[in-house]
Amino acid sequence: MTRLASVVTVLAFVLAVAPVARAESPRDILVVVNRASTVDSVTIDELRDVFLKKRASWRSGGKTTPVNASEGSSLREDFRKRVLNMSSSAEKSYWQKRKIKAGESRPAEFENTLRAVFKLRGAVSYVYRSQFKEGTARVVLVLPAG
Amino acid sequence: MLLFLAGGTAVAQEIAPASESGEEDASTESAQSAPVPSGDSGDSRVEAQQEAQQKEIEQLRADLEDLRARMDEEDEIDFDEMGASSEFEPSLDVYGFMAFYAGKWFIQEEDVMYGIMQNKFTFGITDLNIYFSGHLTETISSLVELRFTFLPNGADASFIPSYERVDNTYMDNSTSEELTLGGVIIERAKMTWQPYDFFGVSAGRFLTPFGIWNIDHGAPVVIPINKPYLMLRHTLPLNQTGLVVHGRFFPAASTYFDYAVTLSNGRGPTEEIYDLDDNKAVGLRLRLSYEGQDVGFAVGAYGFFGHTTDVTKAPGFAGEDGTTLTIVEEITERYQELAGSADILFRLWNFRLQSEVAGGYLKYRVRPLVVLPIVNVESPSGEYQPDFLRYSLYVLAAYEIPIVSGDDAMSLTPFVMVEYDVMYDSLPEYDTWIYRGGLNFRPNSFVVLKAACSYVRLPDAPNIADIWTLAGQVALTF
Repeated sequence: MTRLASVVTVLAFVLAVAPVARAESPRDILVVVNRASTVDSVTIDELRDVFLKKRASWRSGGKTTPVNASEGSSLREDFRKRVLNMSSSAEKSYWQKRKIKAGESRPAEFENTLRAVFKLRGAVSYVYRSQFKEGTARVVLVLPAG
Repeated sequence: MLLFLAGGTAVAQEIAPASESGEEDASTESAQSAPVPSGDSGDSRVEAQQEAQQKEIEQLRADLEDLRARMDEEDEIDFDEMGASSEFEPSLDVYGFMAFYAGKWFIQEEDVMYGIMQNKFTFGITDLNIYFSGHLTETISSLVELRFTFLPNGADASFIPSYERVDNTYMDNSTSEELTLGGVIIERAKMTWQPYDFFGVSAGRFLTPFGIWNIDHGAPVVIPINKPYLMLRHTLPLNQTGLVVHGRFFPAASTYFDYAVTLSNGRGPTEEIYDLDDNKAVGLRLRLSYEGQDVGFAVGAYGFFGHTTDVTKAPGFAGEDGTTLTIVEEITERYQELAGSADILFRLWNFRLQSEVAGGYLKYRVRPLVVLPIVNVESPSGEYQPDFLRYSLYVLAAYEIPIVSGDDAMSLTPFVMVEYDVMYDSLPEYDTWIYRGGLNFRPNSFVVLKAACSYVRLPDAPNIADIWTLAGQVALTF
């Protein structure tokens, strides 16, 4: 009976821990900020606001400069689906309207977003885990693959 | 270099699986090509071959690791060579929109409106706006929006006592070519300092932050072809020159609370460049919005209080002996205005409902002679302008039907709109009802094709018959 209880306890522990101890994937998207940034963490809502330029500062202070991956890249497409919840054409349409209404332009695009974040103070962008290099930027949010 | 390294990484990523599959292929190939072993000598020969192949694979793996290490090292050096993080780099964006119009107003020939409104089928360029949007630092930006128009050439200058048309045609002396001049309207020319989301200051000429239409204002953004009467009548000033303090708060996820306080010259014949009185106009805009994925709503209001003055100037003499030449100002018109607007926007999936109401009370201190509405000519009977209340409202419902989704999205948007306009309450016969309906086709995010019809009715005006209009428009962002 004691042995059965132990097995059940171990199983319960494994089941409880399993989702937390999810394996890292190279396709995880890491949201990164410049090393000089004081931001520690961001929420998806906040990130969406920043990349749609509905806010220009972090909740914790400091200006934001969103940097997108190049249009057409799989990274950009993944980020758009996971964070912005919109299609490519919907995003284009959104920016057409913002330009006319508020004179606001879409975020700059870079092929290598990690380099842009490394270089530009205040920049926030995203990379696949497989592309990330320790020490070049600070990770403030992980968007798991899938 | 950046591209090279990015490409290099990709190559390295491609090499890894290739070598793994290569290992598989090599063993398969060697198994196929090796002769059938016979006895101990055959076994030892196979073992020797396998051992050699294994060494070769290990060497290839070592070479690959070495290559990766060297690329990583090169990458690190490149990152280090970039030095400390740099600051914001200034940028300037130039873009715009335009709209081509085709349409006709159907008006009875004996009606007074026949000669005033456009009664022939006509083509026209209704919008041509160019933007210069500059981002100078992280907190300082500028925005200039210019609207190009063919006016004033061709406009009706007067009806009474005789008809006159503005003619802006001039001859180029060097070529004898006749050229027609158009005009430029400065819609916006402002500089903004925005240190925080909750606080920013803009100075210059800005769109009055009221309602929905005046902010959307571009043909590719607004749904119908024709502006509502609350825009055409300028129930509130569409633009002002002065200062705006504005900001945004984030009370909850996807929820925004915006404010704007305006201080300007208000209205006036020269308000773009200078005020003809010392009373500045003040305004307050408040707006709460929720922009969820499937549902959104917004409620907003704007209040405006100001004075409008017009003057004439004449030479005169002053001083004790009456010999000092002066220029004397005489006020010909002055009124105090309290105006406001309220707007709501509701969105449920692809359905959109929006409504605005705007009104204003004008109280005169110096009354001019009454001006006949629409033709803008002084009343022949010569009475003075009374105080009055004017207001206007509309309700617009639209549903966007996606035809193709994804990256090549197209959509159809049928819409209906109802307007009620009171030009001013001392002219009750000019109360106007307008019913509009139409269909927009958006083949991509840059272009929208619109077709619409309108029915205009002035139920209290015995001498003005109902009017029908048909119109088409192509609006494009560039």
